[in-house]
Amino acid sequence: MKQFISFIRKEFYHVFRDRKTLLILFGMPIVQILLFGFALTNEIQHAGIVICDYAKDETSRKIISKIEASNSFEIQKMLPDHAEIEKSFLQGNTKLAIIFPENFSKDLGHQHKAQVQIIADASDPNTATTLTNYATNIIMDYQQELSNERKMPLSIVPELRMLYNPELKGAMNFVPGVMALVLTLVCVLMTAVSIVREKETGTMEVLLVSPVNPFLIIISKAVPYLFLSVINLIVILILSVTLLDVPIKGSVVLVFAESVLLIITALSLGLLISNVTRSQQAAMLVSMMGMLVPTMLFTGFMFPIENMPVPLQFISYIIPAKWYYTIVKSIMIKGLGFEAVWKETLVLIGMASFLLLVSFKKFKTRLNEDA
Amino acid sequence: MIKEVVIKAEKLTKRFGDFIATNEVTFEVYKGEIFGFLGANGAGKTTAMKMLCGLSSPSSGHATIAGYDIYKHAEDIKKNIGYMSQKFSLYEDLTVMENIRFFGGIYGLTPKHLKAQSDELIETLGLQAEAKKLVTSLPLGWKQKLSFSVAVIHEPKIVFLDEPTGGVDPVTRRQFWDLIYKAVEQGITVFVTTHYMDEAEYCNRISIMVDGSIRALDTPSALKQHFSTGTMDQVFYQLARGAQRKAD
Amino acid sequence: MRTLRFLLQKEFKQIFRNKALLPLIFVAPILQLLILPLAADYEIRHVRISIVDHDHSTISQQLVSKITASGYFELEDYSNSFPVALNQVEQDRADLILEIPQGFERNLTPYSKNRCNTISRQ
Repeated sequence: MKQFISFIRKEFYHVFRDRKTLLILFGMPIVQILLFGFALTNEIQHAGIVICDYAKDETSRKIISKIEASNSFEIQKMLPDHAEIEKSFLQGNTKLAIIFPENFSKDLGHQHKAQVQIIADASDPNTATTLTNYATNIIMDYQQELSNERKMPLSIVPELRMLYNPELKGAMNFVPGVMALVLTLVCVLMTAVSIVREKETGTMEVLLVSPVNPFLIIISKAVPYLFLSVINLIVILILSVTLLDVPIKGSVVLVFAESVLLIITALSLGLLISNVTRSQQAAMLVSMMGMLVPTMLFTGFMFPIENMPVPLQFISYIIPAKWYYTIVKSIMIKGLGFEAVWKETLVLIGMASFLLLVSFKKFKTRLNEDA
Repeated sequence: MIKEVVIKAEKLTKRFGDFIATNEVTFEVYKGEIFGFLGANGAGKTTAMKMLCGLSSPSSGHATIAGYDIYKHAEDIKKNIGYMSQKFSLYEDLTVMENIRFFGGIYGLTPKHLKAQSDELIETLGLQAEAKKLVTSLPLGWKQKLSFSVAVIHEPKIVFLDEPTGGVDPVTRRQFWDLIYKAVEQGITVFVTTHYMDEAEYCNRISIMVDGSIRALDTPSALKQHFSTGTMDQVFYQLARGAQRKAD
Repeated sequence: MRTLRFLLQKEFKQIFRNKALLPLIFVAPILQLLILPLAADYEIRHVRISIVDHDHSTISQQLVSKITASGYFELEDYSNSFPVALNQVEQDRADLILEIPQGFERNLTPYSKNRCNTISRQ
């Protein structure tokens, strides 16, 4: 028994003297609670909505003011023509559109029944469903009010249209997310581990003493994983298109080009990690903890980023996968072209260049210090 | 007869913050010598060697390797030296042949020359049966010999060996030194660091480093005479008695 | 350049010889792709509902048929007694209780509100 207690005591010493373990032990639960409590919610607030009011009468205006008052929606624009609705969706932030037909009030008065059209951006089917429900509830509320006022049963029937993803398939959301996750993770992890392995076994030293240009060493580490990732991408795309019915409405070439961009960014990140870690285990740990968890949470395919508190939204801005996810969704599900995603592409290019520069410089300095 | 100097170090110094790992180290190595760089662990030998190889840049001081300035012509130096690291610098998950081909290739050997050298190497080491086996399956002594042979496959002017004989039995060590002698016969200069004092006897001249500085530099017999002892161990003991740095 | 060729050859050999690596790289994403959409589908189905009908009128029965036909619910029980339904929820045999009060049909006029009780398990 005494032996057992000495072992336990020794273990406690180990744990409390190791700062890193303590951090994980106590820090993680706190972070998780904060994150899951505040940030990761499926409740949507301030969603962008555009309204096309052909009726322009008291009833439609009452509904519109209810929408305005609601926390869930933020009216971006009152559109004069429903033809502009598509553009508003494509340009990005609009998630829902409501059209009041010209005869709205008249129909309510004479036939006791009127229609309203609700159009939702269903490339994220969960958000679309939620928002449509919110809107429908507001309309139903008003319907009840008006019915009581006029002492007559009225019905306002919302006609729903789900854009881009009429069947509300969750895969539309997930496939680009998985693509982002897989490409990022594999490249970061593999590159980091591969380079650190050479440092561990001592072969990196030999390479550095040889006349080989260090730049070539890095390229030789990156190219195989670039190649494998592209193959991976092809497999994922084929599976998605055949098994999951996910379309590639836009240009396949563009999807590949953007993917290569993300791959390069991830490879540079892997290189950076390899510069600061000394063992394969450490490299793996940093890659997984530092990349897997943030990428999963902050890319936007599991939890909508717009619903997170602003400081966390900023975190998502530095995750390359987040930009890639937006780009790929726009191209694959909405069928957009380069003009729609050039901003995000620029961000990715910026990240890739920055990371490449920093990690290569660090690599050269490392040469001089401890090889 | 004027001996050709292949390594010339002048006041080579390496500082890490306040800590001076290598302190104004000055010496010359002549062509065809086996030059031993002795010292306890932590004395600064590996740091000094890394500076000579181009793995580390000096904080101050100067050196010339094979006639090339280490600051200005680092690339040329690399083409003319070979290196064997403490951990044997071989890829365990590649075969013997693949390792030989790889290192020969990156040193720029032409395909024909590479083939000739590889065949000869395998012949000399007697590794015909193992040529297609993964290096990880070789016993330690063979890995060591292979590692050395690979380090000189491109017939460099100088080969740097960092503690090459760790962990092997005396017989294997003897065989290893036979290989070194063969290389010297072909005109290669050997610069070897070690903390085994008895290996000093195999060298033409040795230097002994204590606490970052060279405390002695001469042939083994001259040193033994100077310190009036019969073994290099004793020589080292007398020099290192006052050493500040403990082994790491 | 030759050097790059040698380096790349070495890298590829090392990767393909590593038996654990390749499967990991290719299988993981495929698994994720197939499992995630199924697992994280937010549409809620198979809600087990226990209906307590105090009215037993045509309307209340029409309501019940509509609910069961919707595909979102599974009728766990149809009874008279609220305690029975509550018990089912407590024993984790039902997720939701719908209680239709007596006089449901009678009170249903064009412009009055009618109440039904729903109690769901948290």
